[in-house]
Amino acid sequence: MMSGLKGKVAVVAAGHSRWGIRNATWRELAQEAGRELFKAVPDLDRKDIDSLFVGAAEPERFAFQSHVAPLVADMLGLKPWRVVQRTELACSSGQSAVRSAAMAVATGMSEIALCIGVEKMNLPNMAEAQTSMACVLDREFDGPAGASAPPFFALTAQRHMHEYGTTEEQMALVSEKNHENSTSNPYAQFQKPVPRDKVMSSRMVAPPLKLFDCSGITDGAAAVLVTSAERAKEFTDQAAYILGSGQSAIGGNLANLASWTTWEPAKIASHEAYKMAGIEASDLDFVEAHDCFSISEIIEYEDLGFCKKGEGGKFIEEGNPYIGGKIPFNPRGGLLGMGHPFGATGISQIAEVLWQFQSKVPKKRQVAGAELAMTHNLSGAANVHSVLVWGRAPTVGG
Amino acid sequence: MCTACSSGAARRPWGVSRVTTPTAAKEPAAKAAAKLPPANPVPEPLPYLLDFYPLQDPAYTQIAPFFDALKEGRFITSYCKHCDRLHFPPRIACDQCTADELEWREMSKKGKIYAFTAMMVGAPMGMEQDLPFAIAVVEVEGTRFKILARVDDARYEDLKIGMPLELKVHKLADGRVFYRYRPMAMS
Repeated sequence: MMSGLKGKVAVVAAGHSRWGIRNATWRELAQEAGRELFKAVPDLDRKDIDSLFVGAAEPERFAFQSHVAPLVADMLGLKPWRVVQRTELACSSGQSAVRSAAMAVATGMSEIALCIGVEKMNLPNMAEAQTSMACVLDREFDGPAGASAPPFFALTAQRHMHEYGTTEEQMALVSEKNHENSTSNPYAQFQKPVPRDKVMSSRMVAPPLKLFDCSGITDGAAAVLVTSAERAKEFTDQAAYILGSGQSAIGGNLANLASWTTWEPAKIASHEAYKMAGIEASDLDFVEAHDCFSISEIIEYEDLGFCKKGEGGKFIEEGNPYIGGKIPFNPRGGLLGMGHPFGATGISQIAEVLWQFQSKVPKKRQVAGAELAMTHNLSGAANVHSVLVWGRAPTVGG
Repeated sequence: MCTACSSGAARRPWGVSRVTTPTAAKEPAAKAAAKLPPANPVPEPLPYLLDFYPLQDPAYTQIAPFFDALKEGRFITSYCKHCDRLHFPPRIACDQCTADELEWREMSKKGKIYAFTAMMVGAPMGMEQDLPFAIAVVEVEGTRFKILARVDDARYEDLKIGMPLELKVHKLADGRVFYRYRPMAMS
């Protein structure tokens, strides 16, 4: 049995910019997150950061900028000498940065790595931004159909409703819950409650999905510091340790997806991560999952292993994924409440895990006594899923 | 009218030119577009890297026969005789056995709706004038493929899961083509 990353790697500090429609460029957002991270570890000498991983999905499209890693290094006063790269995996670009850093640390290639995720998505011409987001799918063969994210997830939602009887009201509950959670997150794009009626009566974007079933178009950045489990204590009394990880990709063009309603790659990636960690889904204390659309979280309850297939709608109706419920989903506020700057989301979720373990989040969204957590991202047409399992200690039950 | 079109076509190595015809915009679509926030002027033709339609000339792709057939109203794709496997989108090498001696096979132009939605807002550049428009996942008759396509000649409200559709060839002003669907003609 492959032990993989289990217990070898820790996240020891995090920094976060305010997210939303920001009067700031991508590099300014990166500086904000970096500055906040450095404040969290004042004794860290920047010269000791040997590696830099920048999660950014489409800087070429949103900022007309390639080769962003050295620019981030320049902005933050870093001169990394071991691994320097940008990671791109669309909406999972941030988690990809941390997975890559973790692998570098686990092999000894890196001792201290900075991961920073950033995306500037609000442009003067929003049609150009829409074009850029749509090229995440198969641009040449699905693109001419107008396939950007909302239509894709609308089709998924309609099919899930058709096959399993999921309702628009159940989807509205997901949005209401995550917006409620983000009311206590000062970094969130949306900090006001959005009750279910408001979700239901919001403007139709791609039926059956309405405006508040969709995550925002967001500018933002987040950063975490990654080091070995052995060195974690140099930086903090309470780190977040990687216990497991998995990733799976099936299909590119929509004609070749495994399924429209069952996300096989989510099942494979989470199973792999649980196996590595030596846990079951039911052992987790909270989950930061990829609720790019309300339907996504419902399918994730099912395919990440928290309820039977087709019962995701019922799962939230029964109160399970709320803070204080059986398994809180998205205490941070999710993508629905926080917004979704592609490159930054996965890193913001990991920052939340660290701050939850350190009891640094406002009481309202604190998951009391959490020992085990998971961060999950999907990307593209939900054809790739990426999972990390986190522990308060480097060993399960330790 | 766009004055850049005629000269633009000559300048662009990919030979793409598009003629805008403002009068072609139907009244309801024009109203929907008017609700959108003001955008910067969109150059016509769109620069290649903002245009979703693939290049179709043999100078740029090895699957030009797919587009040539589509121009004639035929829907073909690559087929590997070793694996007895159709591919979609068409490929130049089999994804199962790596054979590159593939054949072209004709697919049915009939399909039925597996799922459908409509794009109401937030269309990419070059599609804003069409808002709102219907999109469906179409089960292509006689194949394992469920493909994404625009549905013309129908509103979202007119569609149903299981509804039969037929392929329609959408022609761009510059000569390129792409597949769409429309409700099956009553006969």
